[in-house]
Amino acid sequence: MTATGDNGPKPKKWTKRILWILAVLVLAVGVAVLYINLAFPKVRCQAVDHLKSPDQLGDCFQCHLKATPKVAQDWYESKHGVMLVKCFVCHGQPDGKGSVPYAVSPDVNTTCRKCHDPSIKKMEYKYGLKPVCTDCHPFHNNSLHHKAYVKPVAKKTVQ
Amino acid sequence: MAVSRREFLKASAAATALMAIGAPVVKAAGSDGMDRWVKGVCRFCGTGCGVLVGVRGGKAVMVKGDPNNHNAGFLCLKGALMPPIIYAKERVTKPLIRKNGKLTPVSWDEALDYTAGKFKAVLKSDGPNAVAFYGSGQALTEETYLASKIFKAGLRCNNVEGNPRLCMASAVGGYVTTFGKDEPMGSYEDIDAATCFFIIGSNTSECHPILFKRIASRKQSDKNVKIIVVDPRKTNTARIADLHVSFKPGTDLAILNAMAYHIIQEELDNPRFHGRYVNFMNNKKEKVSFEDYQKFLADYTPEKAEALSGVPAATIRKMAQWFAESSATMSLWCMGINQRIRGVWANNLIHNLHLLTGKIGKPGSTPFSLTGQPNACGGVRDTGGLSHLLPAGRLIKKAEHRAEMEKLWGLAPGTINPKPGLHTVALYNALGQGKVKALLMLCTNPAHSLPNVNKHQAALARKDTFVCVIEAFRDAETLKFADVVLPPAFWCEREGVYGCSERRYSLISKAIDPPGQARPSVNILVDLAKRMGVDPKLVNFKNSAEVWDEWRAVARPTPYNFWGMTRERMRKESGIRWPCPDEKHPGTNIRYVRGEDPNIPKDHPRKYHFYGKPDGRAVIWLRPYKGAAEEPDAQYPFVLTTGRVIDHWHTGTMTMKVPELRKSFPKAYVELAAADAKKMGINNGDNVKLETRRDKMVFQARVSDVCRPGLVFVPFFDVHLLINKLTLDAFDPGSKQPEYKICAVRVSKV
Amino acid sequence: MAIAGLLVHSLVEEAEALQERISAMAGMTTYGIHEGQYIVVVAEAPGDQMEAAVDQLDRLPGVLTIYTTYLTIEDELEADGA
Repeated sequence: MTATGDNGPKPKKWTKRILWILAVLVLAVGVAVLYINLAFPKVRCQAVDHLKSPDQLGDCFQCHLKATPKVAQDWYESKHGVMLVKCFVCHGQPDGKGSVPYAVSPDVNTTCRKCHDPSIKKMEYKYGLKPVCTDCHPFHNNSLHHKAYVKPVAKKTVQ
Repeated sequence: MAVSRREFLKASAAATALMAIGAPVVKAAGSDGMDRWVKGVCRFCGTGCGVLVGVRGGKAVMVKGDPNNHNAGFLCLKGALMPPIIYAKERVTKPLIRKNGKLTPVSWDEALDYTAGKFKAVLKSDGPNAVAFYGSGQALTEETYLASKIFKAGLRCNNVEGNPRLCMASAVGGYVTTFGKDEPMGSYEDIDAATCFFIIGSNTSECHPILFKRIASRKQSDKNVKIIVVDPRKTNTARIADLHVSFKPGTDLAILNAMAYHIIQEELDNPRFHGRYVNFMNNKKEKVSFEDYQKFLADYTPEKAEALSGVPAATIRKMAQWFAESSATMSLWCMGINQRIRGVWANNLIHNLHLLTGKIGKPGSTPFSLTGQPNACGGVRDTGGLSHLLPAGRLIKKAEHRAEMEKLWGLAPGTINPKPGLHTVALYNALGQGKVKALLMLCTNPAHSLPNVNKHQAALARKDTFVCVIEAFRDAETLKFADVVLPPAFWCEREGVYGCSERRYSLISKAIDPPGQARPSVNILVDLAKRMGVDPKLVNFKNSAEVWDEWRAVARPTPYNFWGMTRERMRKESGIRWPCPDEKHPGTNIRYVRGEDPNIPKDHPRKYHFYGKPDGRAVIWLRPYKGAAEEPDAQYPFVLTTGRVIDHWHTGTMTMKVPELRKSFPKAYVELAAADAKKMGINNGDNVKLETRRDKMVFQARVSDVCRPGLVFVPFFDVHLLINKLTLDAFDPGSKQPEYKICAVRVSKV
Repeated sequence: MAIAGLLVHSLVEEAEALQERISAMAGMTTYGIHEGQYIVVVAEAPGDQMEAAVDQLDRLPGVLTIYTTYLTIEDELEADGA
């Protein structure tokens, strides 16, 4: 390596390399952005935008078996599934035009209380106010067959 | 929208976002936001769940379960979503008269005078048998009692019928021929004690969801509980069954008799019980012996039943074994058994199994008929709202019963016509022949729900027939044939009683005011009756509470005695089961048992007493096999059956107003077995033509493993796909109930 | 008037600035920042303009994505004569 205080050739080589690296980065990012925004349009529509497929709106279960299989299967095998407490009873309709407000995580007071009010009141008397039932009680996979459900087993012990 | 409502929704919106990321949410004081909660009963099925209607700013905003009624606060998806129905834009809010083919709003006076005038004209020219009333198991008890009195006592017309003729008449016939009195002897509490459930002809999970929940919970609490589901369809109900038995439609009588055969052959019957408490009678109403019964059953060995029904003999034996050996067996059945050409016999044969084994009158052991509608029991069966009945189990054809009612109603002796009126199918046939010329309808939609409906729509369409309909929803198919429509107060817009399957009478309290000019039907009936010329003393009622008090008095001398259910008590409590003879009485859990049933003296010598029969003994009837009225043949090789789905109630006039239910189940379809679909090249969603001897219709196919091969199922809620155009109105000669469940159909891909 | 509950997931360093900006927008109410990167927003807009309003939020610099957790337009149904 020639040692020299000369600033001529070294900076030019570095600039070129930096420029190349930047160019590759920009290209990579550009491709990534394009990929994310344009690839798999059908799946993206289904996942992201309920509203674009209005005729599927009613049959939540059939579509969610493919879109969110674990939740759908959990629900089907759970008490709510056997008792036909269908998705829209708690979650409403994704286009917001239902009588139940659309909610990914429904509000306990307007949803769970419709059927579970006596139990919620009991919880409140015994343990005081608890923020969210679902902290302890499984809502999608409260199993009919699980031995533990004979006496509901909370995920956390309530003091 | 009101600012406070918007703030409430915004708070909910924020709460859900916070919950999505697990942040703690503090419940603001009074954030349930209601002015008050009003007690009532669900508008839908015969389970009769208690509800609390949340009222805010004069509007019914939310419904939750009543914790103090039998459902302990639980509701199914229909009950939970009731509010939007009340405020549907299709509500009839003004009286309407058809002028120049169009239903036109008029004043109450004009509508009532016009209707009364038409009735008076027909009464004058053709007599009382040319008018009729067609009511409903969804009307209030007070409404049906009043209508029945107006016609039978006021107009001397016994043509008082109701849609329970189409669903529960066979169950009534079964209870009356076996026990002498209508209505189940057990209650929902038996579910909590049973160790074996025999569910036949019922899709309990979709048609009585909260009872299904109670049964499933029972099984969860005790692994030894056995559930048998007998149904040619493998419905959601079968998900909790230990044994699902599919059988050839129409062979139920053979299977039930074969179970009895096995029970006797294996000596699992209870000779002490049936020796003491049962008479054996043959089909000619002659008393016979137990040995005669045994000989009769020799035609119904499990092997012979297998040949007829397709159910393996070993399975029949297993069912019978479980039934007889379990410590407490409860049978539940619904339309699969009732809507049959020999529905009364099918009911008898289920009772036979309980009487043979003594599994009756003990906690968990009872034959329990599931009632479809919310008030078929309390409203129509108990008040006698059918053409052969008088209130509280009395019969028109019995002179002493007529005399009793004439005395109670203050009528001159001989006022009540001694001849029973026309049953439903006969009534509509008479309408079609021009023999009945004026018809008043309440709270039912026969142009959609009658079997073989093209014929009956033609009857309603006749120019010389006057039809006045009291109906809340503009889009009901029947309104197409109405000459006058009167707007009633709907559900919790007026106070009144519903009586559900377990003999429980519960009060629906008034929560909100009716819209527009709608009025409570009790007041409509009183007004109409007076204008028709009925003696005003007979209809001297200002409201339903006054009608209730008279009905209580009329039932007091009978085993229905619910004198203790004063209106005040009904307001305080959440339903009481009759008999309930005084205000301190808590209501009755089990009938016909000493110590439980207040109709039996405490010192009665025997523990069980079937007081409906002259000698206190129930009857085991020797009923022979009878298949369906229209079996499949070469031309029409499939069986068509109809029924309900959980999302929709009956003709959909209410549930279609709930966006979630409408979207969940927008159209009817034909449910096809996978094996049949494969043979015919039919895929899910394909168009399929169904054709019976009466009509044809195209449905989208839903291919699944629910129906057995050879069977197709169509739900009947869809007004645009009226499956009743294809069904037939052959009826049980005893109960006059039509056989909706079976007819022959041709299936082809379109 | 439709009401939507939204979770705006933002870049950590932009969160505070974004919250102020969103609060200033018409029809938007914010309810705090959680875990340094989630802004809870309740949006009010006429039903047919809700999608545009959410889009507008989405395009703000510093916003990674928007989760809709709640949506109701029930009062507009009432106006239809229900």
